[in-house]
Amino acid sequence: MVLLVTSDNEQFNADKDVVERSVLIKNMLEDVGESDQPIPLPNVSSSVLKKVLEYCEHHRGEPLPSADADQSQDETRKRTTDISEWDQKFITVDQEMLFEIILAANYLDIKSLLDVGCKTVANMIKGKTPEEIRKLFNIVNDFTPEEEAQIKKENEWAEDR
Amino acid sequence: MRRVRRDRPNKAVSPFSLLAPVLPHHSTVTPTRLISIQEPMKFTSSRRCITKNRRFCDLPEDLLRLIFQCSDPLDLANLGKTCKPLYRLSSERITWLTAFKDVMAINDMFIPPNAIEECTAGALKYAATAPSRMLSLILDYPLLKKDPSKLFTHRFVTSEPVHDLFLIPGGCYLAILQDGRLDIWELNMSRISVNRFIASGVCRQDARDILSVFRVGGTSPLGLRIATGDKAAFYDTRINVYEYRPGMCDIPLIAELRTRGIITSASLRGNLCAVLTDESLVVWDYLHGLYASWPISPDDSFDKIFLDDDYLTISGAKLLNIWELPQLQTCPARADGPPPFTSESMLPPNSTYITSGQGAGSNDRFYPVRLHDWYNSNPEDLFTDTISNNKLTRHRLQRSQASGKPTLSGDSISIGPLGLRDAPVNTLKEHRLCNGFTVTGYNNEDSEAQALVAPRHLVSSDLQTPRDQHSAKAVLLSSQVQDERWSFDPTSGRLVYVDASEPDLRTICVVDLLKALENAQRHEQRKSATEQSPTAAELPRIIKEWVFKRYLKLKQILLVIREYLRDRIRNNIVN
Repeated sequence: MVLLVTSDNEQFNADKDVVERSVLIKNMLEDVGESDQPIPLPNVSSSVLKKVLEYCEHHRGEPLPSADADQSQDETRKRTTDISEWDQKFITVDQEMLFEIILAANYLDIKSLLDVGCKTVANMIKGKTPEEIRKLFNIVNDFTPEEEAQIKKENEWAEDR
Repeated sequence: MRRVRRDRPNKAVSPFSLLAPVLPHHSTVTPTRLISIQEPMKFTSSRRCITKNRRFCDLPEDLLRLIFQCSDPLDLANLGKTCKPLYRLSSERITWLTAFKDVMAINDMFIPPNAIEECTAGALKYAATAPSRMLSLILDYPLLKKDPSKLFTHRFVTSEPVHDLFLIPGGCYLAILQDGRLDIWELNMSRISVNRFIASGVCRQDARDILSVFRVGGTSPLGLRIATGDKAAFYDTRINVYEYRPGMCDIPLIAELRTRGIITSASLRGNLCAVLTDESLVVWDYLHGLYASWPISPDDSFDKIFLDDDYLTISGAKLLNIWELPQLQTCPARADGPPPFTSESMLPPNSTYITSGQGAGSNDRFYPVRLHDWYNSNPEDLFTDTISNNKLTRHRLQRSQASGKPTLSGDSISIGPLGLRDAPVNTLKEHRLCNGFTVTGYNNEDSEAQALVAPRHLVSSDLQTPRDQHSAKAVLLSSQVQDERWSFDPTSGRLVYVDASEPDLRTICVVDLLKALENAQRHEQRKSATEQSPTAAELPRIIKEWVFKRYLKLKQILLVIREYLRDRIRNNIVN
């Protein structure tokens, strides 16, 4: 069992093979060796870590992606936004949580979870107009009318000739 | 920010009010204006909410880049239009470089690495979004008005007869087969005005058809292999395979294959070449000299062959066969003709058949499309599209774990009618992949080149629910396309054809259909926009124009009256 301490000082107990889906924790455990010392995770809050551990628990035992194997194949499949059914259900959270999960997955170095998060965001913007994306993500349009006209022109593919 | 600006004229407001939006509980200031009707409380609260919550734009740049990598190029372009930070980040060259390389791998596009290096971010953006834009145009905007002057056409006049041409996916390279010569032309990526004749190879005088083209290499294409032959030849049939490598100005012959019978179809993939004639089916590994062949009964009337990594798809009337690639044997070198059949049995082992069950009919014929599984995360699923009986059907195949043999899963989805019934189906030209759609070109009776778009990525769950809306048909170009000598590439939206309208002149025309369609669409949008009622901003101009017009009229009338009065006065004086 491994003891994890979140940013809000909550403690989590988890199996070693569950938390080792995180490359960060895996490396830490390898460096430190067997110890009862809690691992501090100052960048992860308890609510987020709970979700992340839920993910790791479900995917326990699955082979970890090796560092650079099949890089080229992986690259081309990235844009295919297929997410498995369980992952889809798991990632159905509010936006804030989604971004927090992405950040935590990045910090903890859990590649598969990071992929699921990024693909979910990509799916959210799929087929949306700029205005719809602004509404979705609460983005403030900070372009001046001139700049906006310029960008519109840039994206008018068929102009010239 | 808006609030600050609005408050500026009010000099009595304390400087603390500037902090008010950030510190809403600031007690020293009670500017009533701030909580006026113009500034609903909701704004303040949502603003507070934003600063507390993590927003999309607050994600670190490297994570945003990761999200960009997962996004469709068209979505990425839209994301860049939302705000300045995202615009800056999504305009980076690396973003569009990776996006373009993905699109290239998905669509088997051929653009060598050095050509990509020369591209600006804008050109990469254009090319990366081109397949999605072309598809949306075909799907949403079904008809191109027959106005050839509006088309972006580039004409190249050649002196020799053009036997065949093939536009390589990506729209940058054009293979042209002329008398005894195979040429490669380079067209510019973003616009077709600049062109270069870059490579030429001597080929057999009797070569009449470009049978198949294969792109060597993955994300960075290394070269092209082109198989030529003569579909009309019936004695000593030869298929030549040439290889073009970027940077080289010749196209050397790398293999010459001989078989018997009239060539019906051929397919290149890797080191393999599969040739179907009316007498035999041959699979060659032309680099290692390996070989397998079977006699074919003319009763099968097979007409298309398609080679995939592990499978061979052969279609004929009412029948589609998917065969596992057989064990190849060493090819005996024989000077006097093709080697004999290596197998006298009629079919290769481990076959899967799809029969139409639709009854006989002239259109009841299968046209297979590549078994493409790139878009599916589960490599055990394979799909094949067939066109038969005026319907497009996507079949799902499963690879059985035990034998590795493909079996039909029973799931299939049909879309139709495709409007093919009236057109002779034997004019089906080619199937191209475009972002996982299959685009099929065909000529109809009016010698119009048309494109047929197959459904979007159908994965297992979609197979239960037919989606008619994904089937579409577009008339691409009419009148000029006189015969079969045309080639359409949906990944760049370009069409190339031989214009034979003038008797002694052979002109190769390259049309940028993507630009033409987008311009036509924009033109229509503008037209509908001007028909709408004028906005408040335009009112002064409209009133001014209206007054000015009437002022001119009035001036004319006054002039006439003055003339008349002057005449009257003059007359009065005289009288």
